[in-house]
This record gives sequence, structure tokens and C-alpha cells, in this order.
Amino acid sequence: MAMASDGSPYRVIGQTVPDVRGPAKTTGQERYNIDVTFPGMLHGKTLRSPYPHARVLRIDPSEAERMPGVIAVVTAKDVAGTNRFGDYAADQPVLVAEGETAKMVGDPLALVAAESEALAEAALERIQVEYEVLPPIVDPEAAIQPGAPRVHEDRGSNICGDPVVLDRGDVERGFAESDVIVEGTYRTPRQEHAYMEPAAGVGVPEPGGGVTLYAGTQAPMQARTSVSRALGIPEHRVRVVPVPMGGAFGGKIDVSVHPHLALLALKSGRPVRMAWRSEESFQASPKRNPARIRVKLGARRDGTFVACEADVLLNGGAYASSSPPVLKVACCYLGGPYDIPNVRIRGVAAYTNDPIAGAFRGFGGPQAAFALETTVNKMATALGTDPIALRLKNALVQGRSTPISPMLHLDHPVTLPQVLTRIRELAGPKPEPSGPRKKVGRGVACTMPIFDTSSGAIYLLKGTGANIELLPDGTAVVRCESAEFGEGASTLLAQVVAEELGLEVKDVTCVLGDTSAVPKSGRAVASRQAFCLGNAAMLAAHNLRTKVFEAAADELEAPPEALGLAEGHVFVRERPDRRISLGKLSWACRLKGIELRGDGWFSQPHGKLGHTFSAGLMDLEVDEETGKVRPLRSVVVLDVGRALNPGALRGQLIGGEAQGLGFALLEDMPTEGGQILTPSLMEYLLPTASDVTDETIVSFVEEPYPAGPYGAKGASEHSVKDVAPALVAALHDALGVWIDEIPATPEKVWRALGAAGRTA
Amino acid sequence: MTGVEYIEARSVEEASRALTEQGEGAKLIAGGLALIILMNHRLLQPTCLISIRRLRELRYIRWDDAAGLRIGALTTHREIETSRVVRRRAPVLVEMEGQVGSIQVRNAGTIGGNLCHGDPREDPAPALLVLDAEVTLASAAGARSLPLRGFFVDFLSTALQPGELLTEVRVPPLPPGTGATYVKFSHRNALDFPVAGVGARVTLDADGVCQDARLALGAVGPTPLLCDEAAGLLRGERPSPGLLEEVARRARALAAPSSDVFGSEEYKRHLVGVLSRRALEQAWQVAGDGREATRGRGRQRSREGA
Repeated sequence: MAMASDGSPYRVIGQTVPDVRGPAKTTGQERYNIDVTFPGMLHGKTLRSPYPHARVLRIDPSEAERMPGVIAVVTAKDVAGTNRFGDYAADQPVLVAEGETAKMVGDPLALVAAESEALAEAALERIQVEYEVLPPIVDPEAAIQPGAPRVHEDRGSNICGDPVVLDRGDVERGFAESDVIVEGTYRTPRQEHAYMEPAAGVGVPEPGGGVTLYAGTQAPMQARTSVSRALGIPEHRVRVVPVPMGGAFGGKIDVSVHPHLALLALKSGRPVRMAWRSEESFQASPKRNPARIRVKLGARRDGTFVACEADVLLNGGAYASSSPPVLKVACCYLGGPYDIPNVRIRGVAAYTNDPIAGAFRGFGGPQAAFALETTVNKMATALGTDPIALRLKNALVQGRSTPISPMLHLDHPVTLPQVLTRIRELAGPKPEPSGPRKKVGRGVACTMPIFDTSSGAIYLLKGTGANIELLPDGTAVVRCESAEFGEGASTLLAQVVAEELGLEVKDVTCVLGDTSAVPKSGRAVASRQAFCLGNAAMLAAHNLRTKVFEAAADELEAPPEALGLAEGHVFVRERPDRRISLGKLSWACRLKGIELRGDGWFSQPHGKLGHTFSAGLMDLEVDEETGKVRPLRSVVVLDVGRALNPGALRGQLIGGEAQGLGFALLEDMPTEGGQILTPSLMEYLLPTASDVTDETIVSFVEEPYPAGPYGAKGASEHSVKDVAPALVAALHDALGVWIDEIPATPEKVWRALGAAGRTA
Repeated sequence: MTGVEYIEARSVEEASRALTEQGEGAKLIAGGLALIILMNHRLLQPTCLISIRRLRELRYIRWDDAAGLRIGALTTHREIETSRVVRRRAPVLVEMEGQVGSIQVRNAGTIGGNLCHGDPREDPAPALLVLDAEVTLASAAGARSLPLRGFFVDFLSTALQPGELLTEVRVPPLPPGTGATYVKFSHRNALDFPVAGVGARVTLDADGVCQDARLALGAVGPTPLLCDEAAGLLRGERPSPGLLEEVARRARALAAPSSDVFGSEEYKRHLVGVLSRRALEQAWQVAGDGREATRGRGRQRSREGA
């Protein structure tokens, strides 16, 4: 095999390969969920609770049912299964039944399928619902107290999942031995994914009582299981075909339209389309958990960290969704990438009647990183130390120290020193203020981001499958669960298959997610796709390559071990002119009845998460009179093991940073009595292109990780976490005040200045 | 939902008659920006939409030595923003329009529709108010002219009578030595309505003494607010930090913002003070520069936004 000119041992891996679906996306050819249509299709709509907490006494759909053009109205009475879904706790209703309580604004009560969307909406208004409005439970601190009124009557308390307890050493003694102690209570916002395409899809009834759901999801097989259990349909009769999504970011793990589409399609006997409005998505899809995190850090005068104590309270909203694992991961992050002898971490997630919360890019990491890293930055200030030097002093040391959380695997190279050194090199001079009322500041943060390793550390994620079929013309199809939502799984898989089989990227097509056609690979979550699918596809390619060499051995009259693969041919390595094209070989195998299909199954026994190291630097300018921040320039450094597709990775990290800036500066979904105060994109402020940094420098540390495909680690969520603590530290550098509650809105900055006696 | 009747008017007169005939449920639609949002959120459910989009005669920008700058009601924000005539005659409008929504919004929205919506959280009104703009309101019965300061009656309520359309916005010729500016505060640098917006205008005599001044506030009351009393303090004066601070203090007192997710009443009031002072400083600067520049080529003032 020829070496690439840059000295890399790989031909395709490590190259910036444009997104294989990019041309379709940029020219409007890609068919997203809202583009799916079927002849004779109906339009479905959902009746939702306007109350955050109310007993549903009666649902009378009869008037809606009588409307001309209304084909089906569905309530919980039509649900044959458990009527519940949720993978950590099946506590979320497909439809709230009479006698049950609605637990959040937007809880679904009834569904309508009608000949037009307008008619379906009009029919919703004709469904009579009687409620007994109950006082909403909205304060997570109060909710977890013993004897507090409960969100779920059938649960003993409002504590969602298992509380987290992590201990090491003796924190009391550690604090007693500390010269400097820094404490803070931090709050982070409820962040909405705000993907461009809210949940949508079409459900099609199939003969025999089955249903096919053409609807995007990050977890096709889980959606199939959820629909089967909740609706009482045998699982083999449910087929989920995930259509490419206009964004997901963790918000499309739980089912959304899926069970509703199935119910309406089966009751009406016709294809039914549903497309949530963004306002509906704001209510019904899980958000980033708002967090209250207290951190206390003790250090010696020389900067050595001696003790750290942290406790976390997550507002989980009405249903568990992913809150329990989000909590675990947040606590894992609170251990930090630091070697601290005495640590006590406690965490609880609370059920409330606020909007449901759960998975969102970073998965507990952004909340924890903001709290811990701001504390570390305060410590640097208190000690009068350079914040990078303080971190280097306390960084984990390869072979000597171990991470605090038992969730983490220990076989990774510890590259925090390289990461921090790199960011210092790339920092450049601090910018000058642009005017007299402007101040500039710089801040840094670092984290130890995690990713799934197909080891069972995260529920349902042990084992990742992929298969590759060599077609009679020598091109290949690779199949796995996964999904397309802009993260580039198709491109990565094509790269791996092309690399391993001596093909070009254009010769490989990916079939993702169709539950009737693909092997189980697990959800497209936890920065796991490059790592887990990459490994599975490599194994499948090796399996296929073995079969190809066996088949070619006859044709080329050479033993399989003497053969090689390149440029679409199998050749004898000693005599490269003796070769056969993969097309010819594949066709010959077809005639002989030999299947050229490779299967890969990647699973690790250790049950641990992978981890890596990242750092972020932020330069900003702030208007000292209005408090408004302008991000100027940032640096993102991440140990990626190996950059499989540097361009795509750069895009991921810049996108993550933009989401981190939204979290740090603009985005919040506050509630009052369970009602969302920013119910639409008119009030919920997503950063625009003019609100992000003028320049982001992305730099990779590439310390190959032996367990990763070509040495790669998971990377896609990692840049989101360093932004808020780096930005708040930069604000402190500029103005001398700390903002402990994000987003750091202009008003909060102004008030902090006022409290510090710094305004007129 | 029942269907909405859609009428495409071929003249101002036809639009006016249709408005009268269709009664209360009828709404004019031009760019449709505010209207469609209200309809999508079901805050407004008109029975009849009367489109005036095709009335090309209402889409123009002209200069007239007597009347000044004349802008047809259907002129888009983007057309004003990119007009050389506007840039020459009333550059503050170019500066203001560049801060409206996004380019897509500015391509769709019209100046007439913006004013008739009567939402105080819009950018154009404060900038036009400080220029002493007038509007023409026309109906099948005839046309009348009204100073813009008399146009805004209450929240989402204007001086338009049943059957009336706004057809033209006029900015009278500005006296020499005039500088005007519009300063906006919003959380994002695009797409947002102002949390507070301030228009300011200063006219200086040859010695740099203020002859006349205007100050107008957007988004901090039920209508755009003209601060005549505060601006009056500047007449006969030269700028000083104390004077501008006093004007800003009075503007703060006049503002009547309400607390919402974009800011508390207290913070918005603070913004009014900061923006008023900045807008006046800048307007003063522009007025001074303008007197210099009349001898040479006009130069674009660099913008210091909020």
C-alpha cells in the first residue's frame, strides 16, 4: 500500500474528506423528516396540557371525532401496551390517561389525524378536557426534601435515579491542611437544543398490524423497543427508518413523534405525518438540566490542591429521560483532570413540574466544568498564580494518579500537560480595547471530557455492530444503526471502509439506522460514533478482507496471506501485476454462491468510559456601561488521539464552541410556576453568526489511543465545556467581578459591577 | 380554521375601499413580517387580507428640495439601507436600517408596514422622530399629512382611521450643521428587536453652539417617546459631560420600560441613560464633522454601537 505523501501510514484516514451528503444538503436535495410524504397521507396533531401539574379528569373527543375530515382521534384508551417510555425509567406517558396527572406543560393528552394540518389543529380545539389544576412543584431544592409533594405519585420521593456519592481521602482534614479555600455556588441555565428541524416524520401502517416509522432518531433500535413496549405491538412488526435530521445534539434520543405516529397510522389505516412546531418542541423535548452546583476547593500556598468538595442538584423536570446518567457524568467531571487527594462529591437529580431535561451535547459536563473550572480560576486569582501554571501543577500524572470517578478507564495517555502547553503557545497577545468604555479580558479552562467505548459504561451501549457487503461491481455498502444529523457518520464510515478495502470514498454507500436492515450498533450519542462505529467498521472490513483473500486465492493461485488490496484490486504482494478487480472477484463469487459480506462487532469488557483532555481560551471585550460581552477570539485544544477527518472535526469543535457561547452568554429557558418564559425563538436567544468569536483557532494534540480506530478518541462534544468557565474568567480579567450564574447576561454583569461599587 | 379572504389591491383607493367594506376583520398586508407572526401565534385572526404589495407607486425614494426626502410606504428596509440618496440626505436612516433584524428581514419588511404596526420595539421610529418626519395617510376620501410624532397613539395603536393607509414618509431637509444618530441595544448583534433604542439629533451653529436638538426613545414605553424637555436643555449650549448626564437623567426618568426576559425595568432605564448620552455625544460629533466636511468630501462616521 502506498504511503500518503504527508508521511501518514493511511491513504484516506487523516484526510479532510468532504461530507458525503454535503452536496445534497447544500443544494436542497437532502430529504429531511419534514420532506417525507406518502400518497393519501393524513396530518397528525397533538393536544397538550397547558398546565404543568393537573389531574386529567375527563377527555371527551366525541365532538372532534364527528368533524368531517377528521379520520382518527386517539387517547390513552387506544394504547394497548404500557403507555410508558424512557430508557432509564419508563416513567413518561405516551398519552396521559384520564385519572392520571399531566406533569409538565406540553404533556400529550390526545392525538388527531385529519385530511389537513389546519383541520387537525381545529379538531384539537374541539376535544373537551376537564382538569383539576394542582400546585406545581418547581423548586428542586424543596422537591427533594422528605415529605415534599411528589411529581410521581407512584414514587417514594422526587429523587430521580440514584444519588451519586464519590469519596476519596478525608476532605475535612484536607481543608484543615489548606492555606487557601475558595467556595462558590454556581447556576447554569436550561438550554434548549433548538435544532433547525424539530421532531417530524411519517408513520405508515403495514399489513399484519405492523407499522413503519419514517422518523429521525439518534436511537433507532431503542425507538423500536419503546414503541413496541408502550403500544403493545410485537417488536418485529415495528420498523424504524431514521430519516436524516436537521440537528439533534442529544435531544433526539428519546422517542418523540414515534409512538404517536404509530397510534395514528394504525387507527386511521393511512400514512400520517406529524411535524412539531418549534414552540411544541420547546415544551416537549428534553433540555439541558439546569444545575445548582456548590464547589469548595482547598489548596496549599504553593498551589497544590488538597481537598475538593462539590454537590450537584440537577432539575430533571417531569420525567427521568437521561437525567440519572447526566448526573453521573456531571459528578465525574467535578473530579476534574486533577490529582486531588481528598474529594467528596454528592449529586442528586430532582423531579419537578418543569420542562423535561436530559441529554444535550456535553451531557452534564458543561454544568460541572463551569462550576469547577470557575473555582479553579478563582483559586488562581486568590493565589496570585497564572491559571495555566496552576492547572499544570495539579494535572493528573500518567501512571501515578487516577481519576476520581470509577466510570473512567485508566489506559489513556494523560495529555493534559501537552494540551495546556499548546494553548499557552497559541494564546498570542491579548487584544486592545476598541473604545474608551470597553475592557478586554482573557480566560482559560480545561476539562477531561468523556466518551463511550462500547463497554457498557452507559446503559444499552455495550456492543457496536457493522457489516459491509461487497457488491458485484466492486463497490461496497456499509450498514449500521446510527443516524444522520449533521455529525458525519456516513463520511467517517466511508473513510474507514475505503481505507481498509483499498476503495475510494465515493465507492462506499452507508445505510444507517433502518431497523429492518442494519445490525445493532447502539445510540448515536456520547461522542461514540467515530470510536465505536469506526472500530466496528474496521472489524467488519477485516472480516470481509479475509473472505476476499480466500476467494481471490483461487483466482490468483496464491495463498491468502500473500495477497493485498489496493485501488479496487486484490493483488499478489510479491507480483503486483498479478491482480483481479474487486468487481470481477465479487461477480465470480456471486456465480459460485460465496457471500462477500463482513461482519464486525466491537465490544470492550471493562465497562468504563474513555476520556481525553481539552482546554479552551477566550478573549473578549465587554462594555463596562451596558455589560454586553463581545467574544473576540478563542483557542480550542483537544487531544483527539488521531484526527480521522480534520476538517469535519474542526467543524464539530467550532460548532460546539458556538453552543457553549450560547450557554455562557445568551441561552436560557426560565420558568415561572412551570410555564416557560421564553416559549419560542422570539424570546429564546440563540447566538447568530454575528454573536460568536471573530476567530477560533482549533488545534489537535494527537497522542494515539491504542483502543481507538487508528488511535482516535471520541471528540464531538468536547469543545462545548470549556467555553463558559473561560468566558467568565475573561470577564473577571476585564472587570474584576465574578459571574457565578450563567448565562452572563449584560444585566447580570451590570449588577455585579454595581454590587462591587463599580457603577455610577 | 376557516379560510382567509385574500384581496390584491390595484390602487390605494381600491385598498382603502376594501378596508372599509371588509370591516374590522380586514388587515392590510405588505411585507407581512409582523402580521404573519401574529397570525401564526393566533394573536390575530383576520378574516380578510388586503395585499398592497403590487402597488409599485408606493415603492420609491426621492429627494425634493422643498419636501425633503420622500420614501414610499412600500419601500423595504434594505432599499433604504442601500439607497445613495438616503445615505447623502439622512445617513442616520442608513445606520438605523442596518440594525433592523437581518438582511432577510430587511428585504421583506417595508417602512410603512413597520410604522403602522405601532410596536414601540422597532428601530425606525426613534430615528425618524428626531428628523421631524411626517407621514401621509390616504384613503378613498383623500389624503392628509401628519407629523410622525402624532402618529403613535398607544401600544400597537396609531392615528390611522378606518380605511386609511400610510402612503409616504417624509424627512424635511435638515439644516446645515445637523448630526443625527441611532444607537441600539440588543442582546444579539442581529435579528433582535431593541431592548432599548435611542435616536438623537443635534443642530449646531457656526460656533458649535446647539441651536436645536431631539432625543427619541424606542422600546421603553407603550409608544416611541420623544424627550422634548430633556433635549431642550441642550439649546444654546456647548456639550459638557455634566449637561449630557443631565439630559440622560431626564430621558431615564421619562422612559417607562417594563420588565421582561430581556431585562428588568431598572436595567432598561439604566440603558436609556447610557444610550441617550452616547447618542447625543455621537450626534454632536457628527454635526461638528458635518460642518467641517461640507468643505470637502463627506466622510462616513464610524459607528460605535451599544
